Amino acid sequence: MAFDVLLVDDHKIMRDGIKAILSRGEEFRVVGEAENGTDAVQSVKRLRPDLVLMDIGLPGLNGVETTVEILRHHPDCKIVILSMYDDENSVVGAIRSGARAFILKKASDTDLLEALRVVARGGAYLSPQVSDRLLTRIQKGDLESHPAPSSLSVLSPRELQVLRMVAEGKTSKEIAVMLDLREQTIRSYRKTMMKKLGVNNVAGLTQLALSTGLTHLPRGQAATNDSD
Amino acid sequence: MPKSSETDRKLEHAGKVLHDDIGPLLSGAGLRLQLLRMDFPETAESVREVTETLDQAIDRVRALSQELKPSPFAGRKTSSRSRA
Repeated sequence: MAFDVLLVDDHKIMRDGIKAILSRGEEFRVVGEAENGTDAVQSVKRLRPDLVLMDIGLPGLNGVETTVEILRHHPDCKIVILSMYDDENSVVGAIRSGARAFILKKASDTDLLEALRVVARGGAYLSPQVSDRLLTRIQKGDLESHPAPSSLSVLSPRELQVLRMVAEGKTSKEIAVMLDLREQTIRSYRKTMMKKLGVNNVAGLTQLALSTGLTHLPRGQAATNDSD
Repeated sequence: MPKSSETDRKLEHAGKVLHDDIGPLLSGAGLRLQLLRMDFPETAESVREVTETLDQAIDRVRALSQELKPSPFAGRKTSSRSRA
């Protein structure tokens, strides 16, 4: 019996290419496609796929945040992260979020299929290029983990997620839609974070998020949703 | 807006386009090549050569986009439709 797969990538050329590769065999069946994280969360609820093959760099909720959201509702869903790049933050972030595999977009069709097979059987998989690089870095002793910056360590993972979105200028309503929560719940998170961090407004939250490296904003794109 | 800020903004935009658009297009082209090899095994050697060239291009795009737009994973796309 084929495993049901949901494809999540905002580039149609990627979705079409992967779909074509999977359609060459009978092991996997693409049951749905999504262009962004929010749609992916909804599609998983509706389609209950065995596997989700997802780009890490999605608009809105990124692939890591979407993984967290999907697994919060469907812990049995197996998620494979696709990435153009093998930078440490992406790899570690994806694995910490609960993804079962991390593969590079430039991986061969053989690697892609092998990753899906391994994960479908309950295993885990890293692209050979990724595992080689990690191994080298571990052996050299220069692989550092990046826990939440100390001043933000009082926040829960969910609060960190909301803080990053607030700092990027998203309104409570927008965040609520993305995380499938009530707007009032997001407002409550904001109040709690302000209390925990000892700041009085969104500007203070944004400044902390930027100064600790939790998020990066292009110049001139500061959060302005103080009255939200 | 001061000239330097305008230049910074343009460089950031260039980095974003490289990372969010050019890179994925190159990756998509790579996938298409894989399909070509699957359907026409006799093209395997040619596909391998072109794939190596594409990989080099992807690596160079990566290096330049990170230089222009640090921490691409932390940076977010606005929406797929709003990108240049």
